[in-house]
Amino acid sequence: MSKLLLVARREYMATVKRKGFLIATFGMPLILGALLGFMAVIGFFTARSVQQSSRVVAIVDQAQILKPEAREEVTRSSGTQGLEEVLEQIPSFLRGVVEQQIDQVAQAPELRLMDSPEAARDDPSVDAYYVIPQDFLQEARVELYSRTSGVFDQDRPAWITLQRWIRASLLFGVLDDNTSRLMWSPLPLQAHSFGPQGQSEEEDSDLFKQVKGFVVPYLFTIIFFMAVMSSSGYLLQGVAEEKENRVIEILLSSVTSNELLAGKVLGQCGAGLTQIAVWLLIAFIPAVSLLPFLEFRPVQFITAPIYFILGFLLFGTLMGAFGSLGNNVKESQQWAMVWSFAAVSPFFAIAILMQQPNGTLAQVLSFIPLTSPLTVVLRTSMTQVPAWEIIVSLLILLLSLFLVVRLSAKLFRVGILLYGKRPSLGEIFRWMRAA
Amino acid sequence: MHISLHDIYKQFGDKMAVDGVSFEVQSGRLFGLLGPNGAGKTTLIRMLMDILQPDSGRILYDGRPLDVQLKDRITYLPEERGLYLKQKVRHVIEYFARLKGLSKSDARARMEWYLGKLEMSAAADQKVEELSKGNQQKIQLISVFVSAPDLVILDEPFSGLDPLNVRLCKSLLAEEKERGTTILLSTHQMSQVEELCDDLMMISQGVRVLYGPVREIIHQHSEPAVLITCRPALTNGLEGVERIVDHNSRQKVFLREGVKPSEFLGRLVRQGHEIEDFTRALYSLEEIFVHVAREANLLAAKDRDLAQQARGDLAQQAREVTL
Repeated sequence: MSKLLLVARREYMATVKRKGFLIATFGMPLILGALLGFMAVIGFFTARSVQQSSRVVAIVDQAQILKPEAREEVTRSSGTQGLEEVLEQIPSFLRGVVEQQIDQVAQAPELRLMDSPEAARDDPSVDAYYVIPQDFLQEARVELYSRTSGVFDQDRPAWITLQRWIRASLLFGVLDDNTSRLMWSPLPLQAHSFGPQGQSEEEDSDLFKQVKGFVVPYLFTIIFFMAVMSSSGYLLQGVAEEKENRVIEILLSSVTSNELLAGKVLGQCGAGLTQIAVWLLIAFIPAVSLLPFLEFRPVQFITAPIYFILGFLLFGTLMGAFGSLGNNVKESQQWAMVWSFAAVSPFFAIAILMQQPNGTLAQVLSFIPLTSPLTVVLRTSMTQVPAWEIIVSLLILLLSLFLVVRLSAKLFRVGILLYGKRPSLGEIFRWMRAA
Repeated sequence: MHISLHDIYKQFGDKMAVDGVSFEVQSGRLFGLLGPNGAGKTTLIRMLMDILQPDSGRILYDGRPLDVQLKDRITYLPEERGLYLKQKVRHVIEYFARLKGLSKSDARARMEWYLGKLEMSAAADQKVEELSKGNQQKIQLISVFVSAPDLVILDEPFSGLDPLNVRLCKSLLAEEKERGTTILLSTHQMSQVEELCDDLMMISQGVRVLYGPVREIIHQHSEPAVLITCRPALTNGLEGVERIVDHNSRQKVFLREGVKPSEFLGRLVRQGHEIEDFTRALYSLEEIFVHVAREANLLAAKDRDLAQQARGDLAQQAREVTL
């Protein structure tokens, strides 16, 4: 077995046996699962208690302007059916969670017309009541009385419905059917994007579908971040420990610094991939039931793993080299922060990336090797990225990986024998030229 | 394995760590690298191990520069212990052995043999950090010899060992030497070199101050005197004798230049003296070192004084010019 593989194998074994690694690998899915389960349970009980209490908001129409026919018209075209259809697609174990978020569906209270404020007040099932005063047409004012304070948020859906009902009643009979439908139903929007050549492409305007596409990059970001953080963190820790307890000198008497660094990065990469594999296996069942809910572009299946591995190697190498600079684990970890931040920086610009997935910022970030892995994967999940951009971005990434490996090996060789005061960047640069 | 170093220079910042050092280690010998802390021993060793590169100079192993095959035949025990603390003893030794190119089965068989030899078999499945300092040191020594190297470089190998274990390890060194292994032992404990080493080089402030076979060096640097107990006691005025002083219960006889101790002994016997004890009055390496180092310091101090004086003169001249 070559020495590089020996180093890689030891690094792999040492990492996967670490307590921290085992906790992260097996604990993370458990914690996430528990969290999801907890949310589902809460959602379920919230929904049920809302149903049971069947809250009633009363309306006392002293101005006599509300027309029941107008309400039907509003309800028919208000578009909540669309939302319910969407909810049907959601796997059952997640539905409670989602429903809880969409309070308009789960918590819309029953609106009931009543004759007088006194009747509403005396009915224990009534939480709150609106009064449309007799002079409403002149004053344009509605009053709300509620049993408990802080009711505003809860009754917002009722207020929205009531407003629409009042307007529909005022317009009832004035508008023809078609105008009325246009008035009350949400208007479908078909968005197009046009490139410099004038070709246009239909885009999903449905916000919900965009959110579905967003789930993939979001998950990718989290997995990428955690894997890079944990495994390159171990790499850095390992190097710093070996330096601290001088094992490094024995290793260097047997292998070259290049073999040592490369072996370590490979071993860590393997450990990181193992971790992800375990996560995917544990998440297999929920993931399969999520599949119809997620949206993939085929290109993602190719780009994501490539960028994942390249990004892994890039950051692993950097972390290994910079881990060698400190006197102890703590000092070395300060360097790690810099690169971790660089790795996830596109995430901070995600609002801009989502708005303009093919904009200038997106392009620039795709060509910078430190940010390209995340940026390109985020972009491919949001829009059609021109193939040349992906190819150029990959070439830049490969080239910089090649350079980084060479420079890191030098830095590593210098750093691992460095004890005492922390070197300045100028000194590091000089040594690297000398090494 | 024969090593030769030619004119090695190594500078760190303004400090000359190794200042033009040359020496050779003959194959199969136990060579002592001596010097006080900060003298440049570890720097020399790191250059020998190709961990550092000399600024100039050549290092040859059996006549050629270090390469991958040679590296497998050399092992190294660094001064500050290098073991994976959180791993089992057997995994650490096996890993180091395999990095030197041993097969898995060879590594294991040889490891078991050495563990038994140093009475550490019971600790094989313990984690390194669970062992005492002395036992960790033994593991370190095993990992050095387990790969059957031709050259072993040991930096302060006996530190942290109790007298019993020092003895055990010394006998291990002797056995390995018997087997033909070349051993380079770096230490600041002069007595160990005196006891164990065939040859030595002493370095002080990056400069070679002593070099050669240990016996020769001691003889060279000792006074031309013998210690003697005899009846009747010696009196001044003997032929070939400079002077005689009492030395503990014995007499210390300083011989005139050119008089060999054996000649002097023969003369005493012929004169009918009954000799109970006769030995060369040798300095210990420690005494020699103190002497040599003091001379070196005096030289350095003289240099400083001269330099200061020169600066003073220049300043004086400068003042005169301005006047």
